[in-house]
Amino acid sequence: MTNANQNVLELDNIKMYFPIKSPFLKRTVGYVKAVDDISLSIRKGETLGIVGESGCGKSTLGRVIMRIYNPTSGEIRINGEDITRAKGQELKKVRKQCQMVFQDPFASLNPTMRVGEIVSEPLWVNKIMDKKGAESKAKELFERVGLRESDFYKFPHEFSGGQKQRVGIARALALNPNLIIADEAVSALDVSIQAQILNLLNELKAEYHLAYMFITHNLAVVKHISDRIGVMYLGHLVELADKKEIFDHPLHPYTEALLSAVPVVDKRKRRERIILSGDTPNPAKPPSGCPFSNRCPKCMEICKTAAPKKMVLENGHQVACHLYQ
Amino acid sequence: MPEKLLEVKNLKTYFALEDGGWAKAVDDVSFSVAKGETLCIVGESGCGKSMTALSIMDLIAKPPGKYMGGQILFHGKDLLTLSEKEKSSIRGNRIAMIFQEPMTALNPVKKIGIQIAEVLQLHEHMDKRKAMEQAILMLKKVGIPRAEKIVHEYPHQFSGGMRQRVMIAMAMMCNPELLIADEPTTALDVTIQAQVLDLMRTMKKEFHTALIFITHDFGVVSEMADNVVVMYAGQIIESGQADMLFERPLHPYTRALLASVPFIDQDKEVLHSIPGTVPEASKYPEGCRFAERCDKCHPECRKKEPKLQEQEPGHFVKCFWAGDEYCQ
Repeated sequence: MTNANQNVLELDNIKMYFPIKSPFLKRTVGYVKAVDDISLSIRKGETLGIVGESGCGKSTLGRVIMRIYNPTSGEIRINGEDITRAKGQELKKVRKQCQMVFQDPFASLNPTMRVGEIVSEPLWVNKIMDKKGAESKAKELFERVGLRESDFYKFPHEFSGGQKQRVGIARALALNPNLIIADEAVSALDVSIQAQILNLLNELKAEYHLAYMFITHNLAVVKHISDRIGVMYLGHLVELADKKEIFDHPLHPYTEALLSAVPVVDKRKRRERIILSGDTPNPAKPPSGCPFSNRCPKCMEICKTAAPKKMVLENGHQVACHLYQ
Repeated sequence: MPEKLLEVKNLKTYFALEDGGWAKAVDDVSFSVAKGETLCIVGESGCGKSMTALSIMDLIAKPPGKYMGGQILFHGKDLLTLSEKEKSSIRGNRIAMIFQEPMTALNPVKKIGIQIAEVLQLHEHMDKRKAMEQAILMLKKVGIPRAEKIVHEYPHQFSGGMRQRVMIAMAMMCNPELLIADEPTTALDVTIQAQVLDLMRTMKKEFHTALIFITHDFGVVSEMADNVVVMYAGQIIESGQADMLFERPLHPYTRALLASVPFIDQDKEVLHSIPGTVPEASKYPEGCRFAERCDKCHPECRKKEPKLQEQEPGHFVKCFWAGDEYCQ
């Protein structure tokens, strides 16, 4: 284990199971294992990218860290402090250190509030400043994220998607957090706007000593912004390594297939495409053994019966696959 | 020069606004597609690429939409002058379309099989049983397992990738000469996208279909396209062969767009960001429409509109400075 002081976030064996209730008697008939036994850590000032396809549990993971959902089991530590069961005032304190930027800037800003209020509210709600101080601090943040002061009294609907995302980022920054969880923060934006927001996030990271957990399905974006990358499949973290390591030497067959599926511009650099058959299985009925076994081109007998354990290689490259055990 | 299958000439599709003005969604667009060729139309949202496709299919709501000029020649016949009856004999039969969101394009209360068979019943007057057999064959071709059972299921029982396969099956039923695909893989995950692109390539080869592929993803363009058209604010600003365009993009917008996207095969320290946003279709500036956001902008650009000119054989650019060292 690395020095605990260096880590903003540590997750130990986090599980998030959602019960499936029968329609009439409301008995629990099974579980959707949205996040299944995930352990990871994020160092100070680091960007960890989490990638995976829809339904792999990456958003749920982000929400568990924010304690929007209460995990079924496991432990979450932020700056070394266990917050898994934090309540009330304690939880409020946690959320000062850890903020979230959402995918849909339309849905995550209150349409009846002026954007200035949206950004300054966290400051006085948390009793960091009085309302007046909060307002001037919010104006400062506005300028930093590239909004005009005249925008301060406008309503969210008056902004374009990219500008709204800037408001969302200013709100997240207001409390001076250590960690920002960005859940598909640029996925809804057009490419030219996406570049503006990605650059802004990178600048802010250095300025405010932030760590990011960047959740996305876009491999090119995750490659651009991350220091380390974790790949999720069906609730499991199947591979985790430094960015360069993952792109140059992917170990898990799923990561290989994922990387080969991304269309590239330069034909000479195209990887040999591995086309997976079928769709991601229903998370309520995952295959037995390895979760990827039914689509894996390298599936062996053991994969169908036993779940692979997480292996850590010398260079810190983690992979959960029977090929390497 | 291979035979032209579809030729769009100076097409203008405008939409009437409440204040009496016009939103110029498609403004003087010309391009052509040869038999068996794949043409990709790229651009950001709101640049008119979907409206161009919908105009070809004549799926524009009129009013408020109106064709203000131009021709859409299919085998030399102008689609815009055909009667409703003549149009329906071409639409869905010789020209088919696939949409971005298959769930909204499929009828949710009809079984999949009936929806696919319907195409043949309508266009080829086939009887129901025979049409259904054909539907099952086609579903097998697009790689849907248990096709005999699946024809009796409804669209909501399918995943996104399967629905898109059903859409492709439906579009290919009458063996169309031209297939228009409007962002067919945007809503799909990458591994599923790879499956669908692969399928589209196989189908294209098997049926010798020409393809107009609309997308905003340059990676997909590079993978699918023979020729590329780049649109901005309702106009074509650059067009040419795919290889040429990727190797030597000439228009500042194309260059900026390529520099602003992170690609998996490239490392960029900082992404280029294009300032501002696409102008609204009702408030285009005078002169070049990209001038506001262009880093090569010259006072001239704000006064006069450049023409789409051939810079090198087959490579057209709408910019005063294209090819000039100004643009380097």
